[in-house]
Amino acid sequence: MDQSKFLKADEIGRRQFLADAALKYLGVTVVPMIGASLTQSAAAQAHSRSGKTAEHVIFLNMDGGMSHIDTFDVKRKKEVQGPVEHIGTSADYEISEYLPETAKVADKMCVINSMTSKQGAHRQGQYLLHRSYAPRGTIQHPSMGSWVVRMKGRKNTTLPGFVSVGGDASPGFFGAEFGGVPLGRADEGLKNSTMAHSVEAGDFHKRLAIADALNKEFNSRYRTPQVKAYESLYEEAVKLMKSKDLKAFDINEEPRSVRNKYGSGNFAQGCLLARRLVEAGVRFTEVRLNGWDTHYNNFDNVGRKAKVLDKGFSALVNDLDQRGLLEKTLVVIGTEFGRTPEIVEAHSMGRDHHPAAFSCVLAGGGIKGGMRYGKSDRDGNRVASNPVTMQDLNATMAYALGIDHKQIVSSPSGRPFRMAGADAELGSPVTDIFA
Amino acid sequence: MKSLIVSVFTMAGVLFSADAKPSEAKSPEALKKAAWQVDKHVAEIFKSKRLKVPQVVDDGTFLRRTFLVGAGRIPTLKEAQNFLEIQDENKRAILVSYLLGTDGYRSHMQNYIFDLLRILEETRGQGYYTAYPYIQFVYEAVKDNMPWDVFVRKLVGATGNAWSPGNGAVGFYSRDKGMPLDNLSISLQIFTGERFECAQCHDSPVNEWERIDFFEMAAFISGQKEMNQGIYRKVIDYIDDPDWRRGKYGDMLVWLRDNVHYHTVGNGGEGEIALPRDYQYRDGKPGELIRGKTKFGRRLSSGKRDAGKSRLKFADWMTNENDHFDYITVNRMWERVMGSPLTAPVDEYRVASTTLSPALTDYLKRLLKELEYDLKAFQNVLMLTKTFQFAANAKAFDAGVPQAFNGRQLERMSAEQVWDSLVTLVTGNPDKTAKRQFGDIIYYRGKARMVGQKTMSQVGQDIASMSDPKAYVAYMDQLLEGFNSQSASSEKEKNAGMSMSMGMNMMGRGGVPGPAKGLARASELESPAPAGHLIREFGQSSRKLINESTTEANIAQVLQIMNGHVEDMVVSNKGAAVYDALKAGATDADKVRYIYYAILSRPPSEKEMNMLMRDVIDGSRESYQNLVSALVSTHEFIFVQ
Repeated sequence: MDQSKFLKADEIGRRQFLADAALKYLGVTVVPMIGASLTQSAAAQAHSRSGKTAEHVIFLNMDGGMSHIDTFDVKRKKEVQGPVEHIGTSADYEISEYLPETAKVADKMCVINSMTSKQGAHRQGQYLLHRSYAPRGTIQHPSMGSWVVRMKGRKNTTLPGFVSVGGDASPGFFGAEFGGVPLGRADEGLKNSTMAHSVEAGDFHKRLAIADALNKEFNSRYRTPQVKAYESLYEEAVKLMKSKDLKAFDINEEPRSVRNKYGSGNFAQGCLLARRLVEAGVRFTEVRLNGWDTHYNNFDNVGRKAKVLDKGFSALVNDLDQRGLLEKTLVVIGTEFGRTPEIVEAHSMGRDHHPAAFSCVLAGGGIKGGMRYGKSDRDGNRVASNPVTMQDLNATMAYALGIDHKQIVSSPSGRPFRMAGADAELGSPVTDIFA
Repeated sequence: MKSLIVSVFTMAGVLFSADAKPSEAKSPEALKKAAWQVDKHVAEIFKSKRLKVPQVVDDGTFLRRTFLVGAGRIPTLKEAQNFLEIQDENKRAILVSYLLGTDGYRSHMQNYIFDLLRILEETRGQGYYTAYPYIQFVYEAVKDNMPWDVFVRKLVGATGNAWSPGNGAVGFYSRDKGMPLDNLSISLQIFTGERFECAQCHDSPVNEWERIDFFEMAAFISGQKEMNQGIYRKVIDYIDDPDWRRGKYGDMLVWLRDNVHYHTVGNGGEGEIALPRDYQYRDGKPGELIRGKTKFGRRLSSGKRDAGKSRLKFADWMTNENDHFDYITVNRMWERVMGSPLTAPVDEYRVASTTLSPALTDYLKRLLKELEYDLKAFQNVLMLTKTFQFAANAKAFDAGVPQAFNGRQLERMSAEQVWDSLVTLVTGNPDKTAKRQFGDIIYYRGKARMVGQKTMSQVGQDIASMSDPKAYVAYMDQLLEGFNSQSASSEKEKNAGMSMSMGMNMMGRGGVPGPAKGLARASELESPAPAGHLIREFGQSSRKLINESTTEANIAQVLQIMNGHVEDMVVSNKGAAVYDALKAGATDADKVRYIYYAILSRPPSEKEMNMLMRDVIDGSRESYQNLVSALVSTHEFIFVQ
């Protein structure tokens, strides 16, 4: 372990708080390190991908546990597959009939059919997917978006590096400056990012100054990370309000024809927003599609969800491709687990949680298109070849971005953590899927 | 100025006369004594660990903390003024009783239980609040302070139709329809502090539980079928139209499925369960029927003979003489009042001997029983302790380190507390804002139907006893006719709504059952609040997972405060109650002081006052608006000290 490396990582955090309160809202870049990336040592670079690497991630989170068998891992056996038909794709494999548009972009994507995990509960599964660690009572691990911003730095220093439409936005112990901006609704964009009409600019600044003065005593009494987080967020917010790139958050600027391609609803509009944010230099955007927890009435529900995913995802891939952004943007479809091959009749043909084998999808960012990686067995029950864990998936994301997935960053209490998880479960990138 | 203290005395009286025969253990003297006992045990800890005893907080801090802990909001200007400006040595105890007697207590506690039970407004997304008999059950249980053991027993042992009057607890199972095993492992975690989510699928790598253990527990709750299950399928077969959804009965069938059939549990447990098809260990075979056996606490078994009542048996086991249940309940209430649990995580069982003070732990469990699981009385005791009055510890703790005794940890308000405090600044008394509406009026395609003729519980009852598909279809004809003939009569609807809202003493939505909108307390709004709502941005749980709410900082919150809702709703709103401070004070200094009361629940320090009078306040409205905005933006406003 290289001590100096993580000392440096912590220093960035510390130096931000050194900013003089009097200067901080004046728009001067007080701390030039804000937004700069962790510089990687030569040794660190040896673990990561060389040459042209991806610069952005769009992470589509299928929340609830997407049935692999009814989407990207179709099966011949009738009692496993149920009523879902298979369709051909622009690659040499079949997927579910629920995904006709996705089938047309299969040549641009890589399906991983050998995802596997030991976490069969939603919270734990989602946590692992996002953070490479199991939840613990003693630490909040940063989510991938925060890791990417921390390791790569911001590209656009006036905008947040990480945006989350309905998904995980937690920076964990990295602190608020690496946290995602949570957006409830994609079509509302970043609400409240301009001064309210009721406020004069002079008053606005006066208020900030008064609050600053009144905070002084409280802040010196309570030097907790949470208080510091709010302190830094006020700076961050003012900087953001001044950004000339704010309009990236406004999908209403898109022509109707483009919006229609993505479909309606928060997920679809979130996909469109994600593309705009890539153009503006946001590193990591998560868009969540919930409702995949199909214990009950699996086929109707998966059919409905898949339709939304199908339209949004295919439009996103095509749009990025047409704009020449796909090469530098990694698009990921992830989920916390799959669903059982067994169909529970008593629950109106439901499927239960199934972490042992499931699927995810990667596209762009240097990924080879038209391929599948790994296999599940005939029933979609267990992984048959090339197992990929959540940590492996996250390491792969790091690899695509040219980040060393093994680099250690210490928590404020000095505990070492990595993007690719703890020693016992340390992930490694799936390099075979890169072009 | 005496008004609060006077009304407080009466409120305190009301609190304890709610029971027909107030139990000895709940008399004000007994509660005080119990608080003293708790303090004695805490003092022992300080002595044995040689810790410095924290100072007791000043009135302003106590006032704010007690309001937030007891009623989930900050005090109003009036409440703050009364408390701060009256000299009365009993005023702290009086304040506690006052708050626990207000509807604010109900609201705040309800948020907690909604989180715990992951209560969603709709269990089936049909644009209609299908979960509300369940919500009504929880709402009333909290309002009536139903003993916690009784409440949990009703949930876990629920059977029948959720629409039957008083039987909304059935919603506990329709909430998790199709996932009874997940429901069980969640229940075991939240009520008894044992984690079975691993053992649901395999022997647990992190604790002692094996898969067989989980299924032996599951035998008690197995067989959660809907009431009168076969009939629905039979009707569809009888209609014999592959395109029945588009046919005459399509909408009606879907409506009956989602609103009636869905909210029933027709079986009280089978007492045994078949091991799953992928059962992988030598201690059982896939498909093998196994009997029920409890794995901790009292030993209890179940078999075929218990069919129809095993779930009730299980519910009784869970809540009666169960040390796990008692400890988790105590640990939760300690966390609610003191800020951190006796042992973390809050929902992990610990035997008393492994807690920091076994004597305290044992005492608290005994007290819970003496108080007959009355959570309000239990919290009342804790809030009367000196321990509750300790100054917050200024040091940042690492999560997981036992910290419950050395001054509370500084915590940001919960999302609901932030919202409810803002509503307080706007409306004055947030307990008088719009409330949820209940009733069992029939809603079909967004309209009230057959008002005064038929109710949801009647429909539920009618359907439950139907065995002939032909009769079912005839019944649908009847409903369709009734629904159609009524739909035009809007006047009647309105009247029905009025009388209902009068009965419930509610305002706002004119009797339409469901959540309130706009400026109402968080507990009255949709559960969870819609995406993008201030409450969600401040970290409200999406009510999908347990322990999901968060107090993490993010930039959307700050933007809300600077430019968003806080600006619209409070700062630039000339009618906001916080500006009553301007009328209440004669001089600029008084006005500033009252604004401080209303927002930070304390007077300004001399230093603050000097700075404000010199640099900020010039008597103009704008200067006061700037002050209000700045105070709401301070960290002091959103943190609980």
